[in-house]
Amino acid sequence: MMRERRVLSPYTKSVLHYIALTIVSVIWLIPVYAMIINGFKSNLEVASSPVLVPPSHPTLSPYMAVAHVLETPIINSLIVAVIASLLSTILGSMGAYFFYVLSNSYFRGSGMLSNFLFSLIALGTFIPYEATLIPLTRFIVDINLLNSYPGLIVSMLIFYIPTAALLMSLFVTVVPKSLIEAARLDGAGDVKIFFKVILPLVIPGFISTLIFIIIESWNNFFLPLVLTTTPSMRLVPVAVEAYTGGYGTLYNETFAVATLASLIPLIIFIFLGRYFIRGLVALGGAGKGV
Amino acid sequence: MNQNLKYFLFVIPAIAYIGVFAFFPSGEAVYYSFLNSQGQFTLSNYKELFYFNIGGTIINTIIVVSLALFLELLLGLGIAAVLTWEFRGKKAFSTLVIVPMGVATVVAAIAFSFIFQTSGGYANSFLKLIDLPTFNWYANKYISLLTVAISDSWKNTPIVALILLSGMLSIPRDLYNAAALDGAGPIRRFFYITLPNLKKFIAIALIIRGVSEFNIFALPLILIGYHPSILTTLAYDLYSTSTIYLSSAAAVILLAFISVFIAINIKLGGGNK
Repeated sequence: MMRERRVLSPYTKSVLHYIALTIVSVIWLIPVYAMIINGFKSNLEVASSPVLVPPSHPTLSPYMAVAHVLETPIINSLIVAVIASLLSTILGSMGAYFFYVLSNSYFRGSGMLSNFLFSLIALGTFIPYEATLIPLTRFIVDINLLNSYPGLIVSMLIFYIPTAALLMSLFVTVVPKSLIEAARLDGAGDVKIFFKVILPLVIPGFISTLIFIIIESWNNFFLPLVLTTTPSMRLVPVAVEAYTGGYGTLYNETFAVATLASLIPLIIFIFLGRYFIRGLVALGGAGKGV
Repeated sequence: MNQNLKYFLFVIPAIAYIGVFAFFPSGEAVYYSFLNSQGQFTLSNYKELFYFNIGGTIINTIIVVSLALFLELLLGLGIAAVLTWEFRGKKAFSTLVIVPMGVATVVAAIAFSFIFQTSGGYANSFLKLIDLPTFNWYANKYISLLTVAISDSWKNTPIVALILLSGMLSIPRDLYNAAALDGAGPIRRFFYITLPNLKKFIAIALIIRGVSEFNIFALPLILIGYHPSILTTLAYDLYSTSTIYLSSAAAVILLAFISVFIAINIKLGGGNK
């Protein structure tokens, strides 16, 4: 016998659900909302009007005023984030392919070897930036890459190759191993199998990983803070921090800078977020063996 | 046999890279932490850290990490549960949910510093609106740390929610139907079916987030500066104001905490089976 419940018509119930969801979503988006609307206010209005009220005379001037501040950093960030994420996702996928093949071969010690190498890669994701800070900076200085794109990319790869390898090894497990065996019987080498069989099948996972790493590297603050020395090489997060931390920065321009800095990741998420979620959620069914 | 072992070539770039650029430098950091400026072996770096209140810093770090993880798991479970329902507008809702991931940490920190402003900040305006007393969000150490934890969990709940969602979707529907037939209400189903089956995914979320939580840097730096300090801001503070040996010692303590945290988690989560 079911317990007695307060009787609500399905209609009222779903209306209540929507109201609850809306309230939660609104609270959730307050920081983003604040950023965007306050960028359209004049500096006087930011200080005088209640914070949640939209601007009475929306103005574009704060955005115009700060556009030049972020112009170079955005180009820098794009170059670094795109190259670093592509490289780390490809190298990570190759690593993932290795673990997949290894887990399907049965020579002596393959299990131990696989565990050992996998823990090695996993540990790589966990090393704090601060621990590598001094040796890494010295190394980058020694090879003359301080304050350069290659220097930033090389150091970002340290933290994103392991991340990519971990994520991709979750995705690769969904490929049936009979496919690999069939390709091998047809005389295909590992390179061919990887690029022609595996990669096309894990493209959703590859894209999820790529999106994740682009966002992470775009938002990385610590590495560019330490590894860039001149304003012209700054990446977006450092430029934002430097600008807003400056003396006498106007409030409305602070918000405008913040909005512009988030524009590209936000656009990526709003348009590609669905693929990102789909890729990650697909793991639920397949990720059991991981 | 030669042909078969060629796949080893695929992992060599990743392993070599991590070895050269991640393990070697961390080893070097450990080595530096035991040197004095003359290059001799010494323990004085660690002793000197006590002048910089290393004990309090460690406690602060643990407070922030556990608060943030707790909030993220709680919110993440809620959001993931909602996303398992079918309703109109679900796509829009799920996009909204992951928006914070797209916001740069620095930007989130700036937005939250306005939210927690003592006079005229959103948080206090909201409290006033519902007739609660407003308060100074930086009045003492604990409230400052809470502020950091709240801001951080806003930024990072989405990834936790997605991991948990993927776990929830892997639980067979039949279990819920059977339990409902036996008269278990939604709350009981949550505690007796969802939670036990999610154990592994909660462990994954805890490991991924917990480790990054020890590493949070931009948020505390912008929200509360160097005081109250946590391990990352202390290490950076020492890096810019003191010797590299001292800074390395602080970084090694951070490394030790992360290792212990991972070990506990792997133990509890039952390894990577």
